[in-house]
Amino acid sequence: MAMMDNVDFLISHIRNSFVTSDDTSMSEWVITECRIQDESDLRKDGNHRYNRNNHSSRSDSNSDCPSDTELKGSMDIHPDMDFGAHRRRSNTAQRLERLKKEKRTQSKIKTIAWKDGSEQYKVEEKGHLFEKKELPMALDEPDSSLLSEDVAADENDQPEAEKKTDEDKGKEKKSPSVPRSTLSQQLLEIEAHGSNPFFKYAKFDGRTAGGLATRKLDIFLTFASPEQRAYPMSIIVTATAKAQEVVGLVCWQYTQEGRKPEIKSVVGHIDPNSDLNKFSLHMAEDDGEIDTDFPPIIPTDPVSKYGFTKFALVANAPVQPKSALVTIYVPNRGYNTFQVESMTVTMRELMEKVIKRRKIKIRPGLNYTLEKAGKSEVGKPIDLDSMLGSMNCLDFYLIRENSSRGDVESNGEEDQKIAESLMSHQYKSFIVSMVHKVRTNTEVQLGISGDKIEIDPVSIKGTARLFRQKAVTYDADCVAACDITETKANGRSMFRMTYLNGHDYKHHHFEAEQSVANEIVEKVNNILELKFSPVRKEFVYSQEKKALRKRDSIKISH
Amino acid sequence: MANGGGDPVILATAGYDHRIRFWQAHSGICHRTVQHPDSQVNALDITPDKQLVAAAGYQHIRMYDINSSSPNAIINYEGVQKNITAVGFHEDGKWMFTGGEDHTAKIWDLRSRSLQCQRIFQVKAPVNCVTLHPNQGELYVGDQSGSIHCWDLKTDVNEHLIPEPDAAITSVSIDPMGTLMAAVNNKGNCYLWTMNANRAHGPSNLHPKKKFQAHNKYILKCLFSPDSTLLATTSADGTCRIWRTADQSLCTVLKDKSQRWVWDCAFSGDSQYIITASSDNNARLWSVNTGEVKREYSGHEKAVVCLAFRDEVVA
Repeated sequence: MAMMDNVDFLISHIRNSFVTSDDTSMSEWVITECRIQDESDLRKDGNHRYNRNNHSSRSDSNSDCPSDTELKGSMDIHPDMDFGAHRRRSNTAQRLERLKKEKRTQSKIKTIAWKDGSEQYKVEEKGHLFEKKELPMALDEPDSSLLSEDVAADENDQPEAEKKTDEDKGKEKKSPSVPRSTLSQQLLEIEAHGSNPFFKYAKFDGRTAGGLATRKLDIFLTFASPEQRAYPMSIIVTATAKAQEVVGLVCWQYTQEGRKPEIKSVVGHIDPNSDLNKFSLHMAEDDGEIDTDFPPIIPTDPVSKYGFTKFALVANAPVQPKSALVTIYVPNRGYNTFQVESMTVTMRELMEKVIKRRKIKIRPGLNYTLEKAGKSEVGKPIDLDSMLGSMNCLDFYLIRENSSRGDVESNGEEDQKIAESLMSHQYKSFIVSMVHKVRTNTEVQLGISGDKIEIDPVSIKGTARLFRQKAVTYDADCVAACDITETKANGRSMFRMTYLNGHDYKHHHFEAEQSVANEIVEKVNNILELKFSPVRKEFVYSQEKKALRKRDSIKISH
Repeated sequence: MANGGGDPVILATAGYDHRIRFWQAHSGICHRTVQHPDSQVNALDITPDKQLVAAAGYQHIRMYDINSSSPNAIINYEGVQKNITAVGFHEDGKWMFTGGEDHTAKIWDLRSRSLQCQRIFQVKAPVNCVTLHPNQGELYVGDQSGSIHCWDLKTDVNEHLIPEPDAAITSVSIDPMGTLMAAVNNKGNCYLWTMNANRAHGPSNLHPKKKFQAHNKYILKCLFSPDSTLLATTSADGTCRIWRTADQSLCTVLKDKSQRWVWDCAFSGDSQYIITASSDNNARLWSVNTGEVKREYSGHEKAVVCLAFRDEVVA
């Protein structure tokens, strides 16, 4: 254990330790204040405030130990001290380790310190070391200058000198043809060969990153020949690379290594700016099998986000729609629909498309942004630099800054329609007449919500109990279809609801005001479309088959 | 003229991200990166035997083996105060010269355990650039106060000239024939002298030839092409301009909208291409005649302020 008897040193040491280990850095403020106080005290009465009882103290080493006072200065605070990768080690341990590492690399480095020449420079002694060289004279032909740079031959060196004259001859013969440099030749060669189209991703190659954090990934290539497929391609990628950039790097390295089949033959025409969409990166098992439980990696995610290192590269993946229909609603002015070629298009590009199509003049100070469709997204502008693929949505609203879609929404018929379809899963009830085959129509309440359709009798006094409709509820998953069957002259419409009961399709027929009937049919169809339950699927399929059969039978009969 | 194997074309770039990158100049691929710890790199040069690259930084000149894969330096020259701003070599590799903010230019003997060549040249202001005359016997030192010191190494005679008072000399270049000298300053002016080396004792005779405004902003570097017909100036205005030495007319402006300060440049052996280093983290290869970007060397994470390039002329 060290014994410390120098009060100044101890105080200084404690303060420094405090400052360097304090996360909040608040103590530094306090301690700096203290130090200023100390110094002013010292100036005032020539006595240190911690040494006022110096005479009675055991400490007498102040004068003996001048070097101690030098330790008073604050120790360097390095920003990296507190941010260890895992557990925070003590500063000393970290420093020791760094010193050790430095020492290790240092040992391989030869260090040469500057030393002045031993004696004064004298021309007679050392002049020969700094002899001037005869330069080939410029004369009249500028071409000779070309030699001065590269043919820097030592006069004593006979072979070199010969070479020089050889070259002289060669050049004289060839002139006026311009000599080429190796670089120019290589550039010509590479142009002739065609360069690697994925070149811009080469910078993510961790093999040449020199000290940057990197990750080694094993990529299984699903488009490789069957015997190669089991062997993943190992790449080393800079840790910050995004999934898309990893794909680019794989393509680059693949092309660079001259593997077969060529990327070009895998995806067709190569345009590295957009063709990376033709690939998707999936998580993979150790044996290269694609983990289908998970969707492909989002192209804009950094791969370091994923804890594992095995991926599979799928070409022409169907999971990534190549094109999509994007609808952008302009409040009060209907909507525009765009066919988008790739999901990597940024939202800003889409917005600019709408603005251009609509010829909206952007006045300074008026900025537009986009919002996703859907009630919950109101007032949440999206990041315009993100890609369409990351939106999980294809319907957007064009919103002027400081405006909202709500205040004009009710005016637009289109908007209302959409709002309705979006609200179709919400419960709404209608009073309609139920049509029976044998008896008179009865009034019922038809309640429709996203998962149920209820038919409740409306009690009307005087109707016989016998004729009253029983209350029934159908699961929306059992409903197969709903359509208008007849539009009557009196402004009323008949509509039919088809549902599955056991193995048979059954129908209910209703009658209502035309507008009400339309609304119900639309609402139910919206729900069916959204759900697309097996029953619905089956029904649509059987309907189509029936139609086909009908057509065929017509054909045959002809 | 390559000695001892390796790539005939070498391109290294460095700057503020504490890394030196080696590129395949024709393809733009970075094939190696080495660490330059604790300091930015102010200047780079390649030894005449193409074995080592020297990086001048704060208080150190570090040498890296070009043909190895080690990420660390192999020789460390130290004992200099402040930044070293210029580095270069005698063409036979006998000695190395440096210039620094410690107001000196130094000559270092490269042979081990020999101090025969050690020389020091003191000036009164931080040294911005040091250029070796192609005759290998004169050093031209440009400093912050605006002086160009012409130091004849053999006789130790030196002269100095001040083309423009209070304008720091940022770069000096002498054409390979040794007949022209160019100097640029932080006011955007370029000065040309004709040189006459027929002087037995002392540096070459200089006759002022022309002064012209090459850029509107700070010029960082000037360089004659290997065939002496062109002069490149790089500037804080984000361009590199190529001038014809015959009549100082503008040949090409190398401009890219993302390019920022252009710090350094190097011509290909046949003067057809030029490589520039810029603060936008990229180096670029340009066609001198058309002014188009042929390659972009991207990978640095901070400004690229210096580069070293060796090419060969094939008959």
